[in-house]
Amino acid sequence: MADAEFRNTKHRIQKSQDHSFKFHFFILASVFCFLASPLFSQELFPTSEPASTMPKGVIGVRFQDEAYQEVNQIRNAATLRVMYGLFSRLTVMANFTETNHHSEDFPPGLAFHIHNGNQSIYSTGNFQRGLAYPYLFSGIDLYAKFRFLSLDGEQKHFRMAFYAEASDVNVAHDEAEPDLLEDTKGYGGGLILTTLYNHLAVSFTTGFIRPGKYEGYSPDLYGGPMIQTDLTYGKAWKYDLSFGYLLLPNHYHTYNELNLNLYLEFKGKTWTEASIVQYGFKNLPIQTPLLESGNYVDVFPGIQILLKSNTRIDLSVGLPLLNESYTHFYPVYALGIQHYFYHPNKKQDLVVP
Amino acid sequence: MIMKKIILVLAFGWAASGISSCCKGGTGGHASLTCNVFHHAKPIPGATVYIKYNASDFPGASTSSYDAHLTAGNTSNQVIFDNLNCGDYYLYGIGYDSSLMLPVTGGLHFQIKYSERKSAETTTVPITE
Repeated sequence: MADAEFRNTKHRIQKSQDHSFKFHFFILASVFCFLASPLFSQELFPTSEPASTMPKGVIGVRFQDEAYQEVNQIRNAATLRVMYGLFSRLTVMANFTETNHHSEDFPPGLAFHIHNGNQSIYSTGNFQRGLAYPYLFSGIDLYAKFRFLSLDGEQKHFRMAFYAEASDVNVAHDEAEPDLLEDTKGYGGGLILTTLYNHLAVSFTTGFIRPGKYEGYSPDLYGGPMIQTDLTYGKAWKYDLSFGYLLLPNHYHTYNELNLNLYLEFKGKTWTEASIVQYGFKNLPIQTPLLESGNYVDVFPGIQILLKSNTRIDLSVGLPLLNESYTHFYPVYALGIQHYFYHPNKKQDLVVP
Repeated sequence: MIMKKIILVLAFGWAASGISSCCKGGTGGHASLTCNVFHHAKPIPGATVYIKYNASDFPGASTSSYDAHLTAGNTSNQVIFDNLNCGDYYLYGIGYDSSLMLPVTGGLHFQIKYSERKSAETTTVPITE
């Protein structure tokens, strides 16, 4: 029954020749699910969350990987996400991420001081990119989404949801831009607006990120012990605009039918300057764009197939549209594989002639 | 039912990982902390290390803000704080670099984790001009 919640089916199901009681009961149940909290396939955005929530009791597991080439290194961020429809209006998820983006210590050249006679000159600077880093478990990100508005119509709807997230990520992220999933600890929240009309879904997400600081160590240019370096990342505001289009099928004949969706997502962020402190009290001047305030908008065209209503595979590519992020190189290749586990008693299959 | 168990396990793991943050820095415990004071690669003999219990941020340069202090011998750059609990400490070193003829100071946060509550811990205290 929950299959119906992942499809735009209500108005595509043709009347069956089968007039059995069981069939009618199922149709009624499907309509109920549609009105309760349906999630349409073309709003299963690869890199953003829609305002729609998962049906109560449904478990989802997602593996996603983002990769890009940084000089001669392939950087990866692999995330395992476990999702659960706690209530029909509330979805919770936990993300566990491992990356080779950073070391446990800050790179040489990011924060340092030099001596010039009796003067000490403190500074921050660019550092060598493309250094080899081990895969490290970045941490855990917890996310909750509450859908508070649903205006549902015939082949259309408009929904709004609040979201909140908190992360305990501990890696030596070396740019001002925060990212709660894989780079910085902290918390955030915001608003999601999603509308669907026929085959097209559009979603806008906006929210804030309040990152914590990372207490790491920087190498000493003069060969001394590592120097404790506290990097407080910039506060950020994010704004994503996503479009999803259901390409196939034109008309549903069976729930097992393959769905093909096209996506175009714009992901933007603005952040403030970072601050960096050594020796407990030396505030280093920010003299590298890596730690300065900034903003950008990336565009992610993507394609998705949905198999048997419960397995989705996404592939998208991130390209710079306006300015660039310093946290990754371009292009960014994103792969996602997601599966929903329904309650066995609710799992149904419907074939409509 | 399975999901509830998963949530319980996650909650338990989260709580367990947070045990160290439940420790409160101070005396009365069984851990020790050895502090070696350096200016770059140069040991600073006779340096004094001030310690602030249960603190993770710099309390300030005023030595009255700290709970205790120890001074290394004239030929040593090392002090040892004993009987510490697990928890957070802020260390602030003050010394004199005779080659530069300048006072040198600097601080850092040090955490003794719950699993280290009976351990002998060591840290360097880098200080600067």
